[in-house]
Amino acid sequence: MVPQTELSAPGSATVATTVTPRQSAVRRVFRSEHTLFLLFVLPNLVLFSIFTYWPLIYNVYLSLSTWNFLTPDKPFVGLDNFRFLFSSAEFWGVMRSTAIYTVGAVGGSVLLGLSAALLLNQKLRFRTGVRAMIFAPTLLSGVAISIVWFYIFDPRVGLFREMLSWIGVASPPWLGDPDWAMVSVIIVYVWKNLGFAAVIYLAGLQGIPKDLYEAAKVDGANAIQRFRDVTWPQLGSIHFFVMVTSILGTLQSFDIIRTLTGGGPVDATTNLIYYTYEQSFINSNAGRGAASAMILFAVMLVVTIVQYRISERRTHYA
Amino acid sequence: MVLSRRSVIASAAGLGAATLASRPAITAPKVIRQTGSDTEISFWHGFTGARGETLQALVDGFNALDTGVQVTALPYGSYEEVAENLVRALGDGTAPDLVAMSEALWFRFYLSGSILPLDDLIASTGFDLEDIIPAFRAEGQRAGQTLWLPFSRSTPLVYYNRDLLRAAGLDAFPASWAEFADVAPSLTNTDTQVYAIAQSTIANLVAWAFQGVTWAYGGAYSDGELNILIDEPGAVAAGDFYLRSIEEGWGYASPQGNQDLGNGFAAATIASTGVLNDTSALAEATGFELGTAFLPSAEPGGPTACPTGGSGLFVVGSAPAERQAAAFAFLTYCLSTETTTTWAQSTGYMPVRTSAIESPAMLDFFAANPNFRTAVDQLPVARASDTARTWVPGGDAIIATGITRILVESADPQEVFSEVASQLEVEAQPVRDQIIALEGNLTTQGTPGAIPAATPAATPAATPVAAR
Repeated sequence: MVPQTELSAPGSATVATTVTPRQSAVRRVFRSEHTLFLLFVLPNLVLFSIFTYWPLIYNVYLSLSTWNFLTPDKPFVGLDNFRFLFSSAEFWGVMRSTAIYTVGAVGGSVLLGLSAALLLNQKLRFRTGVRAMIFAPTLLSGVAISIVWFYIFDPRVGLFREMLSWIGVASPPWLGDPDWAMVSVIIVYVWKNLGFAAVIYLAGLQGIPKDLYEAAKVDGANAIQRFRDVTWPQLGSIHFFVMVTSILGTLQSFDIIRTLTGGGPVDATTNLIYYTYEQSFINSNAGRGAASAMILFAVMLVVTIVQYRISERRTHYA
Repeated sequence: MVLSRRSVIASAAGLGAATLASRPAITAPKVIRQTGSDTEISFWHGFTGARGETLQALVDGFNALDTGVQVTALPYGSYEEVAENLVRALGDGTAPDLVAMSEALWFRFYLSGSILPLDDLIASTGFDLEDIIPAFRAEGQRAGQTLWLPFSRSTPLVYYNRDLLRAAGLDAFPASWAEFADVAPSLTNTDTQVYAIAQSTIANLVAWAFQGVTWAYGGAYSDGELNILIDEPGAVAAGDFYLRSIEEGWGYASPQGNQDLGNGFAAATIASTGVLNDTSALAEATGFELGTAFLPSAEPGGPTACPTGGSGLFVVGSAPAERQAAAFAFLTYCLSTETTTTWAQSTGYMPVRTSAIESPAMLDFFAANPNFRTAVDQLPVARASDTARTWVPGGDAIIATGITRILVESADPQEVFSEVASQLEVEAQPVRDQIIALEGNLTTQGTPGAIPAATPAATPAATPVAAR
């Protein structure tokens, strides 16, 4: 049995003299950088392999097969699923909807997020409370807020109808018309994402050195010029971060669309991830769903690579 | 009577107690009793809210009986979610023993061999199959086997605002769409945003409701051998009628038709019998008299028909024999005259037994709530939906998207349905292949051909009645 003193004083001279040859060998192994590296990496690697890499590889396999989830065999069909998608007018409609939704939601998040941040950066009463209110929707469940918005959009009894009636405007058929339905889901996404964008922008605004503004003032710059020539360029990396995270967020946006419109009317709000869900679980076509998922994966990979390249360049520049 | 959620639950609880007091002899098959301990089974369904609570009360009532079977019910948010999760569970070996499955979603599980044919259990337990309403019974039969039995069955109905119709000089909803179109402009007031009909675009309602309109116009989505017919003149004429309602300005596309009707913004809409309670409560709150009527014919005196809907119960084929027998014991309880009566009165679904429809409890209930009777009266013209909607995975959604295009984009019905037919054709072929692999050919061997085709509308539309 190893004496207690040896345990309580590892690394001491006393201990060194009592270490057995076997313990010494173990230490040598652990000192090896590779082993240590594996030791740290292995738990994550195992988890990623099971929950990320294997599903990804399996998804590639499924995208080359035809399967309805229920039959035991999954016949190999090569690129048939991709050919079907690329020759389908419905699929290109989905890509168009995805692009509109992404541009609208990202643009709205950037513009309104920055506006809110500029407002919250002023010395206002109840500023902390207002910040909390703006950030709160980010934390709420997409399904829950969509149910609330469903009633806000109701063209006959909804809150928006009431508010528009104050200025004598009739409510549009928010969720009943393909174009307005897209506007509706963008509004809800921006409302939910606004707090996140605002917080990031606020951090960016507070990181801009005050002396830049003072120097601009000395040079006679007015508020608009100070915003154009100081604030906007200083927020360069923040714009980029908000845009990239919002693009990735909208591409993965499912809950709002599922709850609010179900992808309709007439597939008008079906984005790529919702289409993947429809193909897989409503149409029971695992192969086509997997192919659709691969295309979504490719789009997101491109966005991520662009983000990586640009952020790398910015870091070096800094 | 005010049909509030609380009163429904209270009445369900009361009826549940009454059921227990006067319950039929629900006994577990021998195979269960011999084990000496309770057999636990799992039951998946798609009922939430008040219906979910009522069903749980029924489950609790069963568990309190000395049958040797304990049921754990797991509610999902919808029939579609049940189907999605069952697909997963069948793959990973965690499937339940009993499932409440939509009439539009069961076929894929039949084709994959996931459903236990019930004939042996029916024979060995003396289950009274003949008492099950024939239209419902036939729907769950295929290739000479009974695969599922009806539980929560519904049909589409016309719901209408009787006060608005009376103001336009009508005592009842017209028996034909042609007559309705004649009076529809007088039911419409664009200033107050009240329209003659809210054409529902609710995802899983559109193609089902339009099925009845299609049949009325002499069309079909497909035949029993899965030949696609939606681009032929009958269905296109039904599409033309929908388009006309939009173009003439007395109809509008609504993602919440029955709510609009209940809130007084539409004179009529087509909705399921399953929303009768909710719509009655809304009409009550808004302060108008609610009426229900059969789906009309196209022209006066023409044929009429309506699709059956809702769900049935099937036993999962992969479950051990002991649990299959236990699941059937619970299924028997769910479909007993007393339980189906309780469930129907609490939810608006139809009783599934002839003996229940004719029971004093149900007759009293119909007398007090005549709107509930309309669906039952409509049963002689009820039949299963066309195969393109129920057999083709995604078929319902493909058809629904086409109909919605007509409603919200004023798209040409012939053009739309030609595209829909092409899409359905692509998706139908693997199903045809599977049927041939399983049964040898595509000849209809059960539903839906077993039910007579569209029948002349001999019975006038149901007398309009008050919501209360």
